[in-house]
Amino acid sequence: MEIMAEGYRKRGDGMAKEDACSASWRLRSEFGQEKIVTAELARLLTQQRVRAERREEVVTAVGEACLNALEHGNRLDGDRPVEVRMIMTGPSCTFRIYDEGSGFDFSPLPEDQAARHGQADPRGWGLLFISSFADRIRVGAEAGRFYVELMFRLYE
Amino acid sequence: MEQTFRADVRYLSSLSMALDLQGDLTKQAEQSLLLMRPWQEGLDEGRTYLILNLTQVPYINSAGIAVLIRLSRAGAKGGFLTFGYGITPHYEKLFRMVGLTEYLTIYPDEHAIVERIAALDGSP
Repeated sequence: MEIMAEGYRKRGDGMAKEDACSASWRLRSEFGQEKIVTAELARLLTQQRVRAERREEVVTAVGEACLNALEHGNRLDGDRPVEVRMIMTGPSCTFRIYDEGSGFDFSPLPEDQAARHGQADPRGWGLLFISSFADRIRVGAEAGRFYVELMFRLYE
Repeated sequence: MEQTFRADVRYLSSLSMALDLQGDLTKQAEQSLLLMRPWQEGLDEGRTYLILNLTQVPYINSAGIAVLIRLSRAGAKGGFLTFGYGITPHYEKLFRMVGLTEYLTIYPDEHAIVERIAALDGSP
């Protein structure tokens, strides 16, 4: 397991809501690695006094995005890392989750639950959680990697 | 990183059986939970109620929710109803978002489920 946390670079005094901090993680593409990010993120958001319900929404969405990256983007190839970058600025928090896959079109999934339940393997709920909880979603490519960018308003 | 998942069977009555789930409910639970028995053929000895105890499940992701959907939907074929307890408000919200609560009825604790089963069965 490789963990590279750059730490929290504070700009400004203290950790008040107006301050910014950033962090990054580098994950092996193995199931369970997303929990490294979610555990630390839960702690950070608790420190920032984000209310519990919103905190859990952010953690769930980011966890699912990491899971998508390592499972579908990197196809669980342990030699292909997932990188997560976070910037927390005042009332919002933005993440970029990078993988080495070819990317996908982040279109809202049809909400035909009955049809999805009837599938032999009704997966794909992660995108529903991400699109429901994130306030802004972008996808793109950078330096040969695909990324999903999620922005969350923390205090509304 | 993942907490190993396990599911232990516990017989409560001639009507119901419980599954005590422990560990992370993820894709890895698929093998141990869905393949532990042919759920679509019904419960042991004709029981008609399945109770899922999630009090020892600290983490559920979308793959784990898909496993619960498949298990609960098997009840329709297998002739049993599925109940669950020990679910945090956040996970209950996720379950509702994906429609899992159509197949899995959530109660605050096992006692409430047992009482509900007794009422359904008409037992005193």
